[in-house]
Order: sequence, then structure tokens, then C-alpha cells
Amino acid sequence: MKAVIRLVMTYASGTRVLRVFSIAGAAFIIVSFVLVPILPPSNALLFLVFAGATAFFLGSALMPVIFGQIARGRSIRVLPLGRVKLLASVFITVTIVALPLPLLELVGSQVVLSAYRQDLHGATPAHIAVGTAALERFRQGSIENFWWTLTGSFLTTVGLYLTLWFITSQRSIAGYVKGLLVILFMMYGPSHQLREFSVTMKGSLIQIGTVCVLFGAGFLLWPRWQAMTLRWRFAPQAALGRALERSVAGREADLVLGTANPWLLIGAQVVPIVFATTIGFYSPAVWLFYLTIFSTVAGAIACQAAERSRVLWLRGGWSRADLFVLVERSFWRHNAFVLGSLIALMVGIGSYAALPLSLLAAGLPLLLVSTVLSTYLGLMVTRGLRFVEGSLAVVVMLALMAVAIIAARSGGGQKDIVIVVVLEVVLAGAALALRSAAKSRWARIDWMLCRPDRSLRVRAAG
Amino acid sequence: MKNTTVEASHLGKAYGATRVLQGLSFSVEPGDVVGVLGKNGAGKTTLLELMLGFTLPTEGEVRVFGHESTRMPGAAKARVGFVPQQDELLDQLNVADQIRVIASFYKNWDGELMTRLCEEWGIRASARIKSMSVGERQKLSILLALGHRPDLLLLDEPVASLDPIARRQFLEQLVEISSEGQRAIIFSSHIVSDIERLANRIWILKEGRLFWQGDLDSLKESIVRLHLRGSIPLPEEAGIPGAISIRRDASFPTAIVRDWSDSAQVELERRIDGSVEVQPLGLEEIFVELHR
Amino acid sequence: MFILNPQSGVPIYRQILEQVRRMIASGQLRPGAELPSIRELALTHAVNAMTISKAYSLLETEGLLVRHRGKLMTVAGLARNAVRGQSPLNKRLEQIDHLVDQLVLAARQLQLSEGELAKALRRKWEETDEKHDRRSITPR
Repeated sequence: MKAVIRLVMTYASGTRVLRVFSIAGAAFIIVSFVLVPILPPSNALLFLVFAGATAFFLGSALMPVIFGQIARGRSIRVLPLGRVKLLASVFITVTIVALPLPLLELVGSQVVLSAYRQDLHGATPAHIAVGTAALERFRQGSIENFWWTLTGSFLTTVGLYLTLWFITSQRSIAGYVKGLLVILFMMYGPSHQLREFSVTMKGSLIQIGTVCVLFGAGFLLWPRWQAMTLRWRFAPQAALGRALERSVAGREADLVLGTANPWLLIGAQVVPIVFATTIGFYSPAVWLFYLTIFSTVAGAIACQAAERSRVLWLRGGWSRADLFVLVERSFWRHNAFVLGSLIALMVGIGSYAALPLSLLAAGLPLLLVSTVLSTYLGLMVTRGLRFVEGSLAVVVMLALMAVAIIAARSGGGQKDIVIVVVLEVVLAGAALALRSAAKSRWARIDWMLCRPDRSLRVRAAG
Repeated sequence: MKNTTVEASHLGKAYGATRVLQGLSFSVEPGDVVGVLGKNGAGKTTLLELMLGFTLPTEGEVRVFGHESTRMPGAAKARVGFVPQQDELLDQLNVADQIRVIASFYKNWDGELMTRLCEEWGIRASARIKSMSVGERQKLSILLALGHRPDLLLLDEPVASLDPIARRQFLEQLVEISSEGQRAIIFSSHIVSDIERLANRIWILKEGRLFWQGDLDSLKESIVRLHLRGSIPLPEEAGIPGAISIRRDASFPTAIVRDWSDSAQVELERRIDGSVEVQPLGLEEIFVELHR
Repeated sequence: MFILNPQSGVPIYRQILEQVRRMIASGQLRPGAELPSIRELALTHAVNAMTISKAYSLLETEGLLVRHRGKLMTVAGLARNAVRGQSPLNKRLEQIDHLVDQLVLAARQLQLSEGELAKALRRKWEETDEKHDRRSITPR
């Protein structure tokens, strides 16, 4: 039990920055619990609740990484009940992160209930009868809502952590793709169909339990699975890899940087989008929103550029400034392909679904801007992902999503279009600023500090 | 001066408040094989990375082939080879493709040497790097640094994961390279016996400074252990000239001294009224004693 | 040909020096005998070639070895005399000093007398004299 608690604490307070997030999130949530019964529902309160839950989640964002590292190590098998405790710590963390939201909702609805009950006190008997029945329905509804929210919150949290795991542990395009797929599954999964099932305690707990059991069983049986499938897992992967790498002759630098093959990422994005289209998902807001997110992934890969370029420093005649130009060009080539395919998709779906032209007009530059922004943000990461870069990334993401939502909601109104255009110009300016920041960082890049673990080791050793 | 392979003056590196290296001044000539010894954390890797221009010095400077290390032109870099402590191989490729990728960056790549070494060291061209053992990967890393026949070869713990046979093969290859005369090799290793075989110059890094830089032979001839057997015990502040450390436990005190002379021996034997035996020390003993 | 111990406190070049001198003095290496090339020695023993080269150069300066352009080094003609002549008596005695030390210490521990030790020494000397005579060359 001690080990489990210690693990959970570690997840929440891994680095100084994350510890701040965890504490802030916890504080917000506690304040929300205090305020919700007292204050009337308002946007500010809602924001507080969501900010708290998000901060709390972000504070334990290290969990997938730590979990992955421990799970892959050998010592966990020697520690008594090691893997079981590790699993338990993960489940507990997920529960802690997922519970506040549904609980707050329950508290809120109970407050409303008791307020209505108060109202009924001085009313006529007929009123009371009707009112009581309505209250009863409301009460049942709130309980159903609680279970529904609990299920949704839990599953979303699990999904988000899974995404984080894939992105951070595999550190390659394959990892990003898997993370993307998880996000897509969460969004397009059969959540509406499951609604009836999720509103009872039994249904909710069964869903949560199933996920836990699946994950736990998969985790515990993973080594056996790996051993059994070693041979047939490798061969097609190897053949495909070889076929694709052969075509890289002349652009070996791209191979080293990881940008030699944009088609993998393109495929991973196009397939689910096309699939979702065929099920009939045409809401413009949704499309713009998700296409924006996808376009940032292409750029996010750029954050590995710095550490991968170390190999290139010694092998070629590039100075540090030359390397920046080389890397920039390489990523532009890669992202041009990805961006091109996303734009083609957008135009295609847009005309197929007869979405308003203004949407396309706003959306195209937005995709471009978001790709550029995220690419240069990634290139700025020359000393590992620290506070500056991390918070910039969050800000950029939020800004892009906001613009996307505004553009989607505009529906063609003149004023909104102007706003959107102005915002896009601002973002483009930000992209230029990020570029010069990245360029000056590369002029003094220090490969000993590139990777967070390496820089930690260096600081510890020195 | 023009021909010096590597030259440093008052080189230092600090991260914030921590000073990893300070006050390093040295020069490496073609034909030198330098063994860098130091405890973990003494700054060996940092020193190598400074020489390669991976990181910028915070004081002093280091020049490779006459150019400042962070501003080496392509022609100079093509004469440098580096074997890092953790390999930087591309997991998804196979050996042949990985070699081809690295070869593409160099004009004078010796493909025959690669083929021969792969065969001698037992590396299959079709093996996928992801599935190779740590030792095989390290062998491949070393190989990739030799293909363009560098004039300066830097190795950071190159044999840490190799079995004794692989290590011997690697040693023999280095002997062959170094006997071709005009190359310089600088390598750091924990395996002191390897350094003893290969190096003609030794750098001992202690707490970020160059405690010793000189010939291995002079080092061995300079630092010896004295066994004192006499009836008069040594007083507390016994001045043994050139003493680095003195151990007085039990009845037979010993001392580690530097540049011991015959006259000092005679004098000491007279003072303790007994005999002083001089024991030459191997490199590992010297290294351990210097850190007591 | 040589027994080299890289981990010894005695530098490798000195080990070669002493072994070559001893082999010449004992007649194992006769004048004109070829020594292995520097490269071959370096590769066989996996040691730095420069240390072997240093030893060979020092031996050449002492007059024990002769360098031939493009061929292996050979033992000089008057090498044996050179060895003997070069090292004054006390220097040569110094080389076996530690052996004498051990012998005397062991004898004392076993409570042998000086005479008994001397007798054992003489016996061994006479034994090896015969072998030595058969192998020795009359100096020209």
C-alpha cells in the first residue's frame, strides 16, 4: 500500500512545474466544492471547475512516462507484487483525476434539488404533488447524469493518458499516430449508443471495470504476447520499412531527422477522417477543430529535430546556423506533403458536404498557420521541453482551437470573418517570432542539454 | 603548432553554478593515443563533447586541426570520428542500410574496410538494428566511426558492453590504426587495462581538472609505492619528499610518492632505521591511490 | 618471443629492454638473429606500437640492435660483449637484487645456514655450467 501511495505521489509531483499544476488543480477543485453549493451556476464557476480538472490532469501528465519506464524495466518483476502495485497506482490516479467532475455535478444538482424543495414548502397541495413528482424525476435524472458523467470522465481520462503514453514513450511518428488514433476513437466511438447503458450504477461500473480489466490483463500478459508474436510481428513491418527507406537515397539527412517519410503520417490522418466522413459526420465546427489539431501534430514532430541533428553536426560540413536551415527545409518538405493532403481533404469534404465557402476561406489559412506555428515551436525545443516551451505550446493550442471555433461558428457573417482574419494574421506574426527565436537558439545549440534525461545526468554528474 | 591535432588552453565548462571542467590546457599530436581516466562524473564525456563542438566552452577554447571546435568546417569534420557512449543508430534500418546512410556523408569512405571488419567482427549485413544486442550495436557504432579513416578518433567508453573477445578485436583494430602513424586517438574507458595497452599518453581527470597529463611510461616510473620496514616509527608530520599519500596502519606503513630518488631513499632508510622497498604500480593501482 | 605484462608497474618498453638484454646475455639471442617487427609485436600483444618502437630505439642506441632499412632489426655482432661491457657490475647485480632478497629471506625462514645456502647455489651453478657451455659461442 505504501508503494502504491508513493507511486501516485510521484506521478503527481514529478517535476516542479507539474507539481504546481497538481496543487493548483487540487486547490481549484476544493474551492469549487466549497463554492458550488453556495453560488448560483455561472460561467465563471464552470470555468473554475474545468480549469481545476484540466490542471489536475496535466499535473499527472508524467504518469504514462513513468509507468512506461517502470513497466519496461526489469526490477519491477523482482519487487514483491511489483506489477500489481504499479497497476493499482495507475488506476487510483485515473480515478482521482476522473472523479471530481462527476462529483461536482452531483453536488450541484443536489443543491438545485434542495433549492426546489425549499420552494415547494409554502405551495398548495396540488402544486406539491406535481412538484414532488417533477423533483423525483429530476433527482433520478441527476443520478443518471452522475453515472453518465462518471463513465465519460473515466473513459476520457484513460484515453487521454493512453494518448500521452503513445506520444511520449515512442517518440516517433508511429507513436504520434497511435496517440491520434486513440483521440479519434474517443471522439467517434459509440458513446451515444452506450448512453442507456451508462446511466445506471451497474452499467457505469461495468464499463469502467471492463476497461480496467482489459488494461490490467493486457499489461500483465504483455510479455507473453510479445514472445509469442515476435516472428510474425516483425516481418511485414521490416519489409515495409525497408521498401520505404530505400527511396531515401540522396536525402539521408531526412532519414536521420525522421522526416523522410511523410506518407505514414498522412495515411494515419486521412484514413480516420475519411472513415468518419462515411459515417456521416459533417459538422463544420468539428471538422475545422480536428483538422487544426491534426495539422499541429505534423509540427510537433519537429521537437525531436534538435537532438537528432547531433548526428549531423559531425557528419557534414554544416555550421550550427547551416543546420537550422537544413532542418527547416527538411521539415518544410515533410509538412508540405502532410499539409497538402489535409487541405485536399478539407476541400474535398467541404464540397461534398456543401459546407459554406467562408468556412473554407477561413480554414485554409488556419491550417497553414497552425502547421507553421507548431513546426517552429517544435524547432525551438533545443533544451528539452521546459516550462517556456510547454506553456507556449498550451497557449498556441488554445489559441488555434479558439480561432477554429470562431471560424466555424461564424457561418459567414462579415464581422466574424474579419475577426478570424485578424486573428490568423496575429498568429502568423507569432509564427515569425517563433522562427527567429528558434534560429537564435540553434545558433548556440548545446547537444549536451538537448534531451531532458541527458541534461539531468550532466547536471547531476557535474 | 600547425600540425597539432587538438589543442586546448584554459578550457572550462560550467552549467549554471556547477563547474564540470576548469583550467584544462593540453595538446594532442598526430600519432598520440591518449587514455582519459577519471571517476564517474569527473567530466570525461564533457571533455570529449567539447572537443567535438557539441557543446560550447564557458571559458578558454579548444581547437581541432587549427579550427575552433564549434566552428569546424566540413573538411575538418570529415577527418574526425566519434564513438559515443550511447549509440545513435537508426533502429528501423538494417546494418547495410545504416552503413550506407553514414557513408553518404563522406567523400572518402572505405567500403572494403567496412566489409572486412563486419566479417571479422561477426556483424551480419542483413541484421535489423532494433533486434541487435547491445554489444553488437556498440561494435557497429565503432565500425561506423572508422569508415572514413579519420585522423582524429574520439571514443567515449567504447568497450563498456563488449565481451572479452570483442574487446580484444577492437583493441587490435585500434593498435593497427595507431601504428599507421599519423592518426590521433583519444579515448575514455573504465577498463584501465585497455588504456594501459593502447595509450602512450594519459590524462587523469580529477574533479574537473587535469590531475596528470603525460606519458604513461613516465607516470609508471614516477609514481611508486614505498614499503617502510624500520624500527623507528614515522612521526605525524613526516616529510617524505613527493608524498601523495601515507598510510600508517599496522606495523608496516606505506606511502605513495612521486619522482622518488635514490638520495631520498637513503635518507628515509636512515630515519626509520630500516629498509624501504620500492614497488612500481600498475595504472589501476595508481588511479585508485590517487583518489584515496 | 617476449612475455609482456601491460598491467605491471614496469613500463612495457622497459620490460622489452630487460628481456632483450637478458636474452642476449644468456645467448638465447645470437648476433644476426632477427627480432619481430614492431607492428607484429604490437598486434600480437595488443599494445601500443610506439612503446615497442621506443624500446627498439633505445636498444639500438645501446648498440645491442642494428636497424636495417626495409628489413627487421637484428642483434648486433658484439652484442653480448656490449651487454656485459655496458652495464657495470653493480648495475647488473641490481637487476637480481630482489631475487637475492627473496632467497635470503626464504632461507632464513627455513632456518638454513649461510653455508647451506651457498652450497645450494654452487650446485645449481655447476649444473647450468654444462648446459651453458654447450650453448655458448666463443667470442671472435
